[in-house]
Amino acid sequence: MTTRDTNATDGAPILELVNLKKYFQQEGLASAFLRRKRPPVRAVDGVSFRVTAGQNFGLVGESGSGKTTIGKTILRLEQPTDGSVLFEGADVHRLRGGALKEFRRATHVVFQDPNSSLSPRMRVRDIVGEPLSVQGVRGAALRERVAEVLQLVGLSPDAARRYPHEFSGGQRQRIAVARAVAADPKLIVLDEPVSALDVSIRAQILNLLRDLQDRLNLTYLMIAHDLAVVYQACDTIGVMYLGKLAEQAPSEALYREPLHPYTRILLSAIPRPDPTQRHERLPLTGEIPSPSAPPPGCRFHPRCPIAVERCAVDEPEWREVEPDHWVACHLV
Amino acid sequence: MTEQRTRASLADADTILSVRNLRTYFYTRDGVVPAVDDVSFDIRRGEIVGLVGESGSGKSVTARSIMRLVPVPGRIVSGEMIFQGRDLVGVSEGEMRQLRGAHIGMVLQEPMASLNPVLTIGDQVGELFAYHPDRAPDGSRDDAVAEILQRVRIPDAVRRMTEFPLSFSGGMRQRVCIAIATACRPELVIADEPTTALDVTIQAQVLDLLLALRAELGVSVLFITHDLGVVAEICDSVAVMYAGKIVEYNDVESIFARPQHPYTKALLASLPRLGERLAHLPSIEGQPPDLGDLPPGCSFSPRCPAAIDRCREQAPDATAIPGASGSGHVRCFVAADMLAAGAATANAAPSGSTP
Amino acid sequence: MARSDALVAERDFFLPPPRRLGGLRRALRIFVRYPVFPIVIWTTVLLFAFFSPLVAPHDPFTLSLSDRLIPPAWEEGGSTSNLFGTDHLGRDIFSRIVYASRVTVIVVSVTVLATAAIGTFLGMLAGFFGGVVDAVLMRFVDFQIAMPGLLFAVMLATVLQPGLRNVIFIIIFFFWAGFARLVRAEVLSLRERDFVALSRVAGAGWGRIFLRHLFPNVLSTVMVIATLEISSVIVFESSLSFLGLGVVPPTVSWGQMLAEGREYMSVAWWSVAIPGLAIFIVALSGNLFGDWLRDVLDPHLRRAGD
Repeated sequence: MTTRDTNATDGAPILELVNLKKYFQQEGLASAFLRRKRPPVRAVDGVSFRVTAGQNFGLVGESGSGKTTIGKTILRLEQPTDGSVLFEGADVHRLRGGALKEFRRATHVVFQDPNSSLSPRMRVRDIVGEPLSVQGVRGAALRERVAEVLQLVGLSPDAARRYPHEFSGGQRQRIAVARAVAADPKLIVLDEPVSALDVSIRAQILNLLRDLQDRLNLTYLMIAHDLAVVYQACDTIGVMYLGKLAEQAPSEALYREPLHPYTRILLSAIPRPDPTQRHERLPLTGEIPSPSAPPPGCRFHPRCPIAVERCAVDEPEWREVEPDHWVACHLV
Repeated sequence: MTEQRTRASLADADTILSVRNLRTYFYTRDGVVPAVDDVSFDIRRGEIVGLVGESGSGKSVTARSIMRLVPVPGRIVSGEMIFQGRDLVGVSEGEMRQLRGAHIGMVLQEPMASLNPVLTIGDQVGELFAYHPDRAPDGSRDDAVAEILQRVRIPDAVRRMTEFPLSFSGGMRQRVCIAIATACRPELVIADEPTTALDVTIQAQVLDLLLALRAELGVSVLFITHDLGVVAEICDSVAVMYAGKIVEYNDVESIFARPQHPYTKALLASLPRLGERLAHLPSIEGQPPDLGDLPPGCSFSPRCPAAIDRCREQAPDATAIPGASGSGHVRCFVAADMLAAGAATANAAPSGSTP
Repeated sequence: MARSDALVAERDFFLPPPRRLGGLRRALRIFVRYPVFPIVIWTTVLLFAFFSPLVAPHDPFTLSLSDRLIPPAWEEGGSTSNLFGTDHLGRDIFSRIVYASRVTVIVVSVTVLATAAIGTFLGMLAGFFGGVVDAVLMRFVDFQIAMPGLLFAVMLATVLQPGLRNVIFIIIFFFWAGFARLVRAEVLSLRERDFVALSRVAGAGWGRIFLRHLFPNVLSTVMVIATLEISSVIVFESSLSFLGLGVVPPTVSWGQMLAEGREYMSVAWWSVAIPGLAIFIVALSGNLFGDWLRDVLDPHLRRAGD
């Protein structure tokens, strides 16, 4: 394995998104027969942020916010419509040859559902070893590394010759994590890594991820709908709404002093496991609008309790109101 | 043990459903799976009871047993479920059909799977009145349906009742499901993970709706969930299930303030919370057990930090917890010993006491 | 421990009484759970095909006009020397059935393997890449489904001349598209699974994704379709031979026997019934085995214990 040159404290951005946009063209009967193009779904519509090496970044948002599409675009599973993704300064979508191979080694992902992310007809050693064998690692070196990472995630080495269905849900997610760290990556995208797991297993996996980060010098980009999970796992949180970032701040600041009205509502909607603190939830009326026809001005204004006239007209600027605390709202 | 008799006698006239020693087993090719094993609890009028557990804990099978909709190869093997003076275990299928929908409503996790995509919302809500003419309104069906949809806060109900489920958002669909479950003003609604598939802001709306309906209709709710946060928000009392058994049952304040069972304690401690970032989350080691191959003694003993030898040999009975409602109980030797010793401070290390 | 013994006893109390299976019921159960019938039938057919000269009591091609239309052994006037009787030219029907199984075995094995290979390959391409490959393939499939198959086969056969090789060619031509369609549908859902995305994230190329991730997962489907296809192929081949477009005499096939016996049906039912029954039983075995295989390979059924 190569030794890494980035280290957790030097503060260099490992990942940077520059005005990233991803639109999906809708297909359907209407467009096929009437030759009338439907407006594209603006899944991601101009998102910029930086992830510092060693500092975990969390993206939270509800369904339709575009957070999953961002993850896929970073990993080159989607081509951006506009803007770019820079990994260690290089545009991810322009990488070719050896640089691309190195990018593949240096990044990996853990998805939500281990049932879907582990091929049912492959043995664990082939699943975990795939990122290595793609890199050309073979034979004894491959077997040793697989055994090593299995041990790292708390599985016994004899797990290697078994099939995924022989494991419980939590163990399957450990296999998925083992695979993600196998090729010694720098950045791992965690797409809802614990939301499909039983409550008693979630803490185990979160602790495992943290433990691996310390040992392997990793950076996580966590995508999740559960703000409490992201708050525990990440240093910086970006809150997405309808394809855009509404607010971004260090986790503690975001929780203590949320600035964007959507962030406040989101925080108040989270059920607290404490019956003595039943609180009035801030009202949020209606549902998230269609990303193919986002409202003009601020995207949140039709549901915003404090919106003024200007919010329906001008799109709020993405600005840094305090050090490292960014928000897109006219009224802050 | 006599605790359960005591609790039965405590069940007052306000009790709407009283489940006693319910056992639902699945007879599979590989053996007998005790999905629900000796479960007892009460639901009072207007009470919201949370049934909490992980996958395979038996919470959904409990719900299905009450509806008498246990899928094959499962079967209710023993117990009582007294609902309005009748034991649901014994009533005929015809009688049960009269109860379902009219007296006991049900809301499931996936609203889209619960609704028929080719029928209008109005037809699906109004359908209930055809099955239960005694609970049908006197006036026109459409008026009644519109009123029911307004009751679940669906805006523009008169127009929207002519639409199909596909034109509704996820949250609105779940409101429709709640409308169907409450159309006949049932005494009890069983809600099986009703907000799990919803976004958190939509979940908050649905929880508020359930609380409002409880106030308006006086309906009782059996709320099945894996989310302790949701339980804390809306439930009055809580039953925590593990491997087919209720390991702890108490009013919601007591459960969260003074959990007795090591599983409840560990579960509460391991929740990722807002407000304090921890370097290490307390976690429960090991995996939930395979119901077809349970460990001897207490099913939680292999994962339990407080387990003593006795826990690995015998299964504990329910022991009453002196608490606010008087009907709380816990299935744990260590907790029972501490309660008996009057050592209510839950943090004290268990002494390796012998029976 | 006394207490836990009591618990065990209590649990046993709720178990249904252990079923005592009689010999007959146990046999029935094995019959239901395992594909006994198809295996017996196919073993027999294979033995017939490989050892025809040893199994057949008579030469299937020898004419004997004095022995015309002898009924089967169990009918009045039949004899054990001609178990299933003789046909209108005095040939032993049992021996002809045995020799005809060779055609069945050859046609089935060649066509099923070939259609499975072609259909799987093209179906996977179409399902994974979509686009032009998919459009062309699916239009071809539509074309085949809309076309009256046998009619077109008759046309083809008259152009190509009857014969074993052309029978095989026609069957492959007609059967691969069904495979391709089902494999394509399977791949369409597989490619959305996360393990395919993970493989791409790891940097795997198309070849690897096809071989390591898609193929092993469609294999069980392919095997099930292939088994179910066997019966269709047998019936199709018989139909062609019945219409005189299949194998040419002296090669004998079951469909051909059916056609020859048709004229004598009123006086010698067995000359039609025996080859018809052979086709029916062997085709049925294919379907029964396919159903069994589908149940065994279905991961949902196997995962029931989770």
